[in-house]
Amino acid sequence: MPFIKWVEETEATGEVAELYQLWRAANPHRDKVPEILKCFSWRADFLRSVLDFSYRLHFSEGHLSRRIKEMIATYVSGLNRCPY
Amino acid sequence: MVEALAAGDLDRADVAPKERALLEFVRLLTLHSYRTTAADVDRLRQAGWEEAQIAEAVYITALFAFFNRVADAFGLEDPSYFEHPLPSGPAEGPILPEPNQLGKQQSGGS
Repeated sequence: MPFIKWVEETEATGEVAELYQLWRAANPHRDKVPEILKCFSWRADFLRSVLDFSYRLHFSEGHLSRRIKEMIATYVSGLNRCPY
Repeated sequence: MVEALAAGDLDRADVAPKERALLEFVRLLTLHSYRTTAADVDRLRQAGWEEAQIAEAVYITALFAFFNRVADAFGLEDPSYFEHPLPSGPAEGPILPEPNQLGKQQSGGS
């Protein structure tokens, strides 16, 4: 159970439901919307922006290769995850 | 290499010198960004990174700091969240409608 509640896929309505559906349609190989995205479900407008800018920055071509960006993402999350 | 990076262990990661220089900068930004100096950035130029690449590395580093903070605050149990980066981007294409169409929707307010 998360510390802070979010809008579950089964109870989503309106724009949140629409965004969850857009995400599922774009990710047929995944069975549920990732928890990290549901964290933003209290502000559908912000969830929409998060989906937009994270895709635009991280998953589309930019100045760095996808490989380097994945390495950075993995390393940052690794650093933030371990107690130091 | 991925496993070492996922554990936050750059020393153990088998990466090329140019990539190591960038990841050391990423580590600085993640752990002590207030200590960043012009010399830190200069090291990246010496290693062969261009201005636009350095800036994008900063954006990605900050983006994942953002997600990590939110994940910690909500107490996400699913550790695999860290294994693969933000799963918001399918290989096929963007999730949301074309940005310009999106831009119009946003400025119109909901």
